[in-house]
Amino acid sequence: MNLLLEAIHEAWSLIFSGDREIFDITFRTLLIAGTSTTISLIIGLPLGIGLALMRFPGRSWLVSLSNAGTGMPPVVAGLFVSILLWRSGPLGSLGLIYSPIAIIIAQVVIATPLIIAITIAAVMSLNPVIHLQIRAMGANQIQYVFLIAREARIPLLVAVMAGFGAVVSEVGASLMVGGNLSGETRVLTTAAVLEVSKGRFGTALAYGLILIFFVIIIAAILTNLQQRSQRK
Amino acid sequence: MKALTFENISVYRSKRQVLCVPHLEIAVGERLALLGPNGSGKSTLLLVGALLLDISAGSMTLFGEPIVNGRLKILQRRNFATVLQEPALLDMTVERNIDTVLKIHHIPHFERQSRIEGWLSRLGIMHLAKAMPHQLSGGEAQRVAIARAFSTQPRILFLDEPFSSLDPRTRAELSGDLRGLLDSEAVTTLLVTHDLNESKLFSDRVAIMNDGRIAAIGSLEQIEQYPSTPAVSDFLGHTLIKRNQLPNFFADNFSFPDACECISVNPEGVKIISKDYGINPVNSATIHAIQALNGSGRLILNFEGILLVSKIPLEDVTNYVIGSLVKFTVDAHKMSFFRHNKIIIS
Repeated sequence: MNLLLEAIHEAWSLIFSGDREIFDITFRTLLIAGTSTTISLIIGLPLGIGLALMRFPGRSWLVSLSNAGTGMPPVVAGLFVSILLWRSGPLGSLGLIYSPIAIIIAQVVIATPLIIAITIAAVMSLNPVIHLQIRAMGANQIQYVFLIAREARIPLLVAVMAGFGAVVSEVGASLMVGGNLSGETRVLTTAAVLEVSKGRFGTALAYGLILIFFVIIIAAILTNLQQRSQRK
Repeated sequence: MKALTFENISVYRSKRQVLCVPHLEIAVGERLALLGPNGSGKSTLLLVGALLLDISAGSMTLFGEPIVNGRLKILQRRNFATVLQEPALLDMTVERNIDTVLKIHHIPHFERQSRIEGWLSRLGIMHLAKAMPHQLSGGEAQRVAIARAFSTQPRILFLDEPFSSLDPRTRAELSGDLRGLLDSEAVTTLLVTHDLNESKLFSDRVAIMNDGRIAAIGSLEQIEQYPSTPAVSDFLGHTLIKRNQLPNFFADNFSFPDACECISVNPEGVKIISKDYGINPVNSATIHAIQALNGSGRLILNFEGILLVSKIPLEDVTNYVIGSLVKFTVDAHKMSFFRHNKIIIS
């Protein structure tokens, strides 16, 4: 009990002391997670909308694949990207292993299926009459997709939040492909793992509290969005 | 000039033919109502006409121009406006809903505003311009859908049971207003409805559909007088009796064509009488049920195991009690005779 109280006290002091390293790690975490979420959205949103709206052979197989991808363990994504970027691997010549770009690639692999799956569900949950009405209004393909995405904007925002939440809190892939290098690839989750291994629970808890703060912010935004959609 | 023509149209769903229309023409300015039971193919025909459903075979023309697939089809669709059973408003304000469709139709900004205000005023919903769809009642939302449809100045208007989800009062108000708009705009209209009264109010001609085919087409009066098939007769609420099940009362008092296999009796031909004047043959039946339908009353009479329908004024329904005995007579001119599912004499 004493250990926990001491750890909380130390964490609290570290967060409010303006510790440079904590600030750097937090900033890097947000930058990497933000970048990987953005890339995942650029890939996942059009793919998700396309899979929801188009009918072609193999579509249900691709939908199943994206649904299965939502449960992909980050460690497996990390392993896959490690093999790809390893010096002797297919993309080893790029020298990206143990770099922030490697973490971003791994996080994109984790978040993209999640965003695709939520986007498909969001678009398919729209009233089918809305699809018919938009076509009846004379919309061309681009206008149709734009209006459908606009109608599904709240569940699509859930996809954004879920994607960000998944990558900001994962540790396995970041550790495997980033190497947890101080000042380069150390993010909140990997830093917390390192501090625990050293027995510095206060510092680890400080990272954990910052992470929890982001998770709470995401949950609050999600709850707010869900309540807004329920009010309709 | 024909607004829309259909030639040998077929639509298959899961290898089953759900629509088969060998020939149908809708003249410019004409109002055609599609009637029929659920699953008869009327909404499918409307969607085909509105270019919202691909056909499996056949051809169509729009104002003399053939309809082809691809980008041109989207442009041709902009000649139409469709009001569906659900208002299907987009999640934006009422005025933006109309503005969006006008933008799709490339209407310049200055004209968009005047059209929005004009149509919202004509539908009596100007005060709802800034409202969101979830703040509207069913009737208000359907008014917005109608305003949105008219704002594009469509050459053909498709109405798919636009009042079916409304309460009777709202339905009456809105259908009256829509009738006024159709009269003033003189737009070619294709209406899908279950309601015979609605079809009378909105159409010059009706097509009764059954099993994906047009079973009868013409004025409702004509069809009621000469229902082309037993299915049409059944849809119109006539009593269908197989020849071999006819009670003696019919066999003894009326003459039927020899080939006749089935008889239909129009509810208007079954009269409840208080006194026997000796002009028509009279018999007695038990009241099995009392109904109010399409603005009139119906007595369902149990006559020797056959349920005969008698049409009565709505205000008279309170004069009858279920289970009581009434005298009735049948007008021979209100009977139709069928052989092989085709009318043979009426």
